[in-house]
Amino acid sequence: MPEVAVDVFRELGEAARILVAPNDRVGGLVIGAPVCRAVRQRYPKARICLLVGDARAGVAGQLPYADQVLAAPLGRPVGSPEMEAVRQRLQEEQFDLALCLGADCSYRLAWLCAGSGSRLRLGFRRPGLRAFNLEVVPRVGDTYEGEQYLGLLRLIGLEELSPTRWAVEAERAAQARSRYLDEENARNAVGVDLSGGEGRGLSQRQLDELVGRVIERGARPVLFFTPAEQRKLNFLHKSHGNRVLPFQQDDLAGSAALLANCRALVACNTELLHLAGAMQVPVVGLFSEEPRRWVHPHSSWMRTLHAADLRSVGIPQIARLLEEALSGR
Amino acid sequence: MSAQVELEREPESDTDLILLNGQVPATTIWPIAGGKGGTGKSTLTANLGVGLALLGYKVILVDGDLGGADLHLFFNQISPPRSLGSFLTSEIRSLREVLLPTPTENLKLICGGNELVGAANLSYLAKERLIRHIQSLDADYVLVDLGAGSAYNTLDFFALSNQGIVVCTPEPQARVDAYGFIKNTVYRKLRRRFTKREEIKEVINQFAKQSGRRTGRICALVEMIGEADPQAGLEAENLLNTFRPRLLLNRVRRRRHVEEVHRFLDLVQEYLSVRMDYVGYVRSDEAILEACERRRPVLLEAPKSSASRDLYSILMKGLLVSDRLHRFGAQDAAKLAQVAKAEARFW
Repeated sequence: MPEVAVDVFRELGEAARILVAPNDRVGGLVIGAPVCRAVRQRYPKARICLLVGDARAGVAGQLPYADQVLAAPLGRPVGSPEMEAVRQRLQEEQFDLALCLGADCSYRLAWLCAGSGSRLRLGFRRPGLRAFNLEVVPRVGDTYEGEQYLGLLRLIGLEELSPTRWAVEAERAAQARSRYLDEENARNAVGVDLSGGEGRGLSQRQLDELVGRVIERGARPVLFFTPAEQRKLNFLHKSHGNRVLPFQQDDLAGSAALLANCRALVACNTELLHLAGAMQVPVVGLFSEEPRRWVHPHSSWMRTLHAADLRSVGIPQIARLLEEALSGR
Repeated sequence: MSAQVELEREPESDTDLILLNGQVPATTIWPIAGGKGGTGKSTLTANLGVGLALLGYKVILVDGDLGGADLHLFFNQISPPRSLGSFLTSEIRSLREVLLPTPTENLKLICGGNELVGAANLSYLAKERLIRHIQSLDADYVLVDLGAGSAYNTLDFFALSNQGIVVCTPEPQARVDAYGFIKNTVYRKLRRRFTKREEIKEVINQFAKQSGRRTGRICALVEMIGEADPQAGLEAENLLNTFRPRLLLNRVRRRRHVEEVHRFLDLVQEYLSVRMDYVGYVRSDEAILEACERRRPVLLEAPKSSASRDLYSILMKGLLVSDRLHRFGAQDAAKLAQVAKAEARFW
């Protein structure tokens, strides 16, 4: 059935119900937060709904710019009853405007935006999917993800994106400190994210050496893990015993509370890395793809290391960056 | 490498700040009581605490047996430097200051106050203060070892949680005492709920006096409360529905002992309208006695003994505690025994 013609400028001026779908790749929610803020400023009275994967719904709900969060089971295939239910729900909401961020977000997210029934759907052109009625061709190369979003936002008259900062309520941070770190370690914890991000990440041996160096330095390594890193965690726990503090990242906001007490974080390209950067926690970011794509050009909190195969990286190199991060150089 | 450096964070400003409310998991409080003395409450408290700590949780054990504190003896503390006594006499303002370390880093202990004469007969204010401080302790699990009997103080400490653990042995005397303890807790809870409602309190008191001659079923009492005030009746019903104490059977010698437990649970449900969850049993085992003599928890002293295996099973199957580090499931008692053996080196 042919699509009804849309008067773009009228639609843009009157959008009262807006759907924003941050990129569901690592860091998408953190990098996309300035977009939500800009949209909120452009449409102060609109009802803004965030569409995110289940795992991010808790944190997304704490963004002050959104009125509603819709959690989608993005792990389920397109056409599954669960995804159909979300699409149905989106259609019921009758959005005026849908913004799909991320030139390479998952096909499922783009499919949901396409199926949302929103009268105006903005997104990046992608081969094989006619999801949007207003498309932007993504820039090639290693343009910072936030810069890419600007291309999309210019269509609705937004010219700049100012970065957002993330923090944890002081009381919550103190609770996390009291629960997980004893007084002796409270101001000397260093986070190590065991996840590999989108690449293979560091090997068990590399992590073992890195954690050993953190301990030698007199700091307490906080090992952020998900059940997928169980083997790495068991190995490290066996080697270093109670000198390491394992912490499961089942809730990003909970991880943030502990992260707020860390003096630095070493992580591959993961959600935690981007969150730490936004929280102004010094980060050593390990990337198996060009970091410029993911790191804000003016970020002073992030030291990056890029290697196609992170398993070939020597730990002294990472330790040096960590030292720089800790000493604020 | 260099010394610590304080982080300099940029000052907070207007709307560019996203403030996260990252909550730590709520503290679970398990009071452990039993009615009868000598059922092994302290032994089980010490061992469950050690087990939870081995599973990666932060645990605080509180010796709430104010008249006969002995929990510290499992941790080789002959004469603890700080105890509840200092807190109850207000020498120490916060209960957190009474915390004593144990060789297991994430397990801490609050010793009872044996040195304080009359500690078992706490004043109302002192008890409420102690309860408040216990509730504000920061840990994943707080286990409170309670004394024998059904004194009001014991009942009120047991009411710290709706999921307290009642320890019982197979002897009929212990079952009678456990039943009496639960019954008294129900009455205490109801009285406290309607503390400002004289007419409801009167209904409860009348029923309590007559229950020896009548069937004594608590559901009849709830009906009577409902007749006096329908809203109060609903509250009482809700109170009973949310009260889900657990039963742990200790010193089991025969299979028959375990089978009898289910009859006991049915009886509690029928007469007291309380649904109890049976969490498992610990077999009678010499290893426990030997560990007690050596003032150590059996989980560390004899991690492969039958009693230790039963305790792992209670933790993981009965109390549904999962290993925080995902190292083993409910079937992997042998692996947990290895961890316990490694931990025992620090003791």
